[in-house]
Amino acid sequence: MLSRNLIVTCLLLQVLCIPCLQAQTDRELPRALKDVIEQASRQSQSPCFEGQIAQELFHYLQYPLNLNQATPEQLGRLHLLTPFQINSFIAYRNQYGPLYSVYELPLIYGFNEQLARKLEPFVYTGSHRPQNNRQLPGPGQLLDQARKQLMLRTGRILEQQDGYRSRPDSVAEAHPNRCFLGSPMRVYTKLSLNYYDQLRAGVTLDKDPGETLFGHDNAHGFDFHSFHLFLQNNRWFDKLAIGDFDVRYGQGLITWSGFSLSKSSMVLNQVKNQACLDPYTSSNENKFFRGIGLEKSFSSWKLSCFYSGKKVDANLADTLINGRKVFTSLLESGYHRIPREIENERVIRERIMGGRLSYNRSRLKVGFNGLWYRFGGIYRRAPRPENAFRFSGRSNSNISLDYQAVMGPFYLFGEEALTPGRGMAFLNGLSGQLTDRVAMLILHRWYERDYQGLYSGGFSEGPRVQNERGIYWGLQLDLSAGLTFKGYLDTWCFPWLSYRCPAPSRGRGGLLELHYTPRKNLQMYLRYQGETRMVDGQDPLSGPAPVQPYPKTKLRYHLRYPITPAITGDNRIEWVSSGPGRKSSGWMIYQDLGYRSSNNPFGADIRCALFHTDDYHARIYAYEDDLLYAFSIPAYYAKGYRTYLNMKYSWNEVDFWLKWARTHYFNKQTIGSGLNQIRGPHKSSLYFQIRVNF
Amino acid sequence: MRCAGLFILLVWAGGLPCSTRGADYPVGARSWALARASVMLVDFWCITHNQGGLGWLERPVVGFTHQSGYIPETDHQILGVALPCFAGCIGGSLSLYGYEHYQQYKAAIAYGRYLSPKLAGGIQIDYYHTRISGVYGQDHRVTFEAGLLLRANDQLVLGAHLFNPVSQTWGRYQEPLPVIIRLGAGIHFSRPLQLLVEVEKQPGQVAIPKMGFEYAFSRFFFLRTGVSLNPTLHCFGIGYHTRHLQADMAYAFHPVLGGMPHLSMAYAF
Repeated sequence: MLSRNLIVTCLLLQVLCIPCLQAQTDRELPRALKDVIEQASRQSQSPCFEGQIAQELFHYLQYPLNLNQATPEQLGRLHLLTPFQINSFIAYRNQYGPLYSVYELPLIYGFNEQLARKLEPFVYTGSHRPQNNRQLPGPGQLLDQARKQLMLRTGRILEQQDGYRSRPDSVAEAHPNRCFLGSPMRVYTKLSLNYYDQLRAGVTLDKDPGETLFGHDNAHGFDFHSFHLFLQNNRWFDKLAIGDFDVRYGQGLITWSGFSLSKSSMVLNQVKNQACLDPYTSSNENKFFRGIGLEKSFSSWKLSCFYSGKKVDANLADTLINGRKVFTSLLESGYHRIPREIENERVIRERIMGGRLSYNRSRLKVGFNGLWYRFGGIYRRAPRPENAFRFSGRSNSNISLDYQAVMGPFYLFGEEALTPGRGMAFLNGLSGQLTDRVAMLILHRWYERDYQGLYSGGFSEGPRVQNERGIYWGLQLDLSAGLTFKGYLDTWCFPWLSYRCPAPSRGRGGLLELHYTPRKNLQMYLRYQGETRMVDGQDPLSGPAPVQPYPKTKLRYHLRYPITPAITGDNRIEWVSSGPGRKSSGWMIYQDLGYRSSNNPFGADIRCALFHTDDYHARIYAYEDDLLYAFSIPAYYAKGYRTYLNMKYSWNEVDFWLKWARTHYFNKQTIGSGLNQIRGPHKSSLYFQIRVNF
Repeated sequence: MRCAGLFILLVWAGGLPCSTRGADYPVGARSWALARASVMLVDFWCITHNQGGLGWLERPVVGFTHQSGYIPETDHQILGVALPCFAGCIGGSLSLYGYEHYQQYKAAIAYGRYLSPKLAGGIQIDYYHTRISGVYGQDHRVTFEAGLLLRANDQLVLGAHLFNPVSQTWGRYQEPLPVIIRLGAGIHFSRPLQLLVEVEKQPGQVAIPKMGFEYAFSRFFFLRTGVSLNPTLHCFGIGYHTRHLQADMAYAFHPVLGGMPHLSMAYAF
């Protein structure tokens, strides 16, 4: 204990003398998480979920987590720590008592200065006395003491899209699905209220471009309304969710709503260790639960249960079976802009019940999970071979057993799930901090083709937890101070037919990255990413070709450097090739400048990007700084340039954001297709956001 | 018909690590648990994966390994011995692969020794006898292989190995025995952990990158894992090493063919 105090004292003195870990003034997401979001968008998750992970992180930016009271679940929600690091942190805190400072983090086994730097904006070291069972004050005092926030975001694409062109009434009547019913404005409003960690409440209202506001099908206002009331650390229960909420159980084999980390440069963060009930704050209009959820602990046991009932969008068929509606797919886009989309809006009732009983000890966690769901109609998929083993019918259920165990430097985890009467799914893994500089992860999954988890979100290469087997390897080496090597290799096979592949197939993908941080704010990395999967042939003359390998390769160099204490520069060059024989290839280069100063309420980001790719297959994704809680990860393809300006101004408790972006193509005269088509070589957007804290 | 099918499978399965079964190294469960990233390993089984390692053997050793194939007809056994003498170490091995319709015997004699305090080298002469039933008959061939090991420092070991540099051919149709070059490095990050990386290359074939980890769970027990590409092999294994005994088990998993268990025992006198 004495030696620890000495070390901490020396460390603090060093920090005072050499402010290498000084507080970040820019309060922005760590680069690693921007990467994760960038790569998540590539894997066709809803951008709303990326917004959700950001909201979680921004929540911690605004209300940092007290390290001396943080639970493993809360630490896991930062998405920056591996399970081993979380356990190592908890063990350190249990052994040595509360931390004196965030600067103490590098002393913990499995932590280093870079990680402490990433965590620093989201955490602080406060009192270690638990504040559970604090009484909620009366409504008046609560409203007075709670942090309240109102946010309004609006904007539009500046060029006219075909769906908004005015047409003669006769044409509009004859072809009602050829024009959007609403305006091109996007309007998003959110009102939230937070009282410490005990109460979170909020209302979210959203209108997508093309949807009506107080008109036609939205007579009550917005197209999407969401409400949540979330109470926790109460004497009667651990958590109570009323309204809209997320449920995450185990490793996600039976249910995992919201964002889940997929393959990215955070090569060790594939383990899900924050099974819980959370308020829903995203704007995805279908993938959430609406009803009531409860969590309650009894000594080492914890019981969680929920009921959800809501109507969802679905593609209705023209037939009825036994007087019930028949639908062929569930829709997730959330767009209700034309009569055809409105016809499918919230037409099927969905009821879901689920529960989890878990046993929690410091080194072992075991949970038993169950989920049952029933639709108001009959789910009948198109009779195609790839749908042969997918869910059809009215109701279904899943049960699973999950575990997490710490054994020395190793962390074992997994979930074994079953669809009664059908298939099984297994996910098991081992994560290890082999030395203070080497960490690795091995993850094996085996999902049978007739396992049917309609709400699952477990680790997978394909779009669902079904019909897949594979092994994932992740490795991180801290080669020297500031120099880190990261890599993963994932191999998989689909024993049954899959999307764009009319035969059983297999593939593999990997990433190698060398990351160098010689000093704070000066970072660079070189990344190679490759992937080969099997797809069907695409020769229009000879018809369907046999399944063939389809490789993709990416090479990226990124440099981030300080120009002045307030101005930061980012440069990136990326090359991509795609298809057999590098059929499509392309490159992109950009220059970013960011201005942030603790003395100035004004902040700005600007980018100029130049790109040149053969076609859409060689598209390149790049994260853009955007309005708070919003994300933009555009796909750069064809030939052209893109520039944007994102500004923020703070005035007392009011923050303003403005973002303007423009993409100009050298070789295109139209952009997009269908009703979204723009007749011209450029596409611009302008968005404005205001946030009021009161 | 069954024989024809087995023959095709044998040739194909033999072609996974190399183009013919003649180049049947590296062997030993420790090597397989590390996805065959073993050109820099120093243990008894360097009699098959890099004869340079013989230079560091100090005691007589005898060992046996069994490798279960994807089907029983592709099992592989090796019996070996190493005897320090003549300022170095002499090693010998006998191996048997196949079944009644496709059998391959290999006899090898090797010699390795120090070339400098940090460098050791070795050479091995191989005799192959292959018998295939039916019209194919049998064939004998002799070739050789050589390896070098460099202990750069306490943390880094480098290895290089060359098989069949004379480009010996095979069978009545003069099929070439492969020329195989292997280069690798072993890095001790700390006492319990060793990272091994290796690249194997045959002329005209795509390179095979391999990577393995060996973690000393205790003084005697080792956990191992590794992965190699082209084709993809996922490997896992455990080891129990004492002053006299080296016992290893491994399981190599091929995404199409399935699993392949290995067992090795070696005793040092």
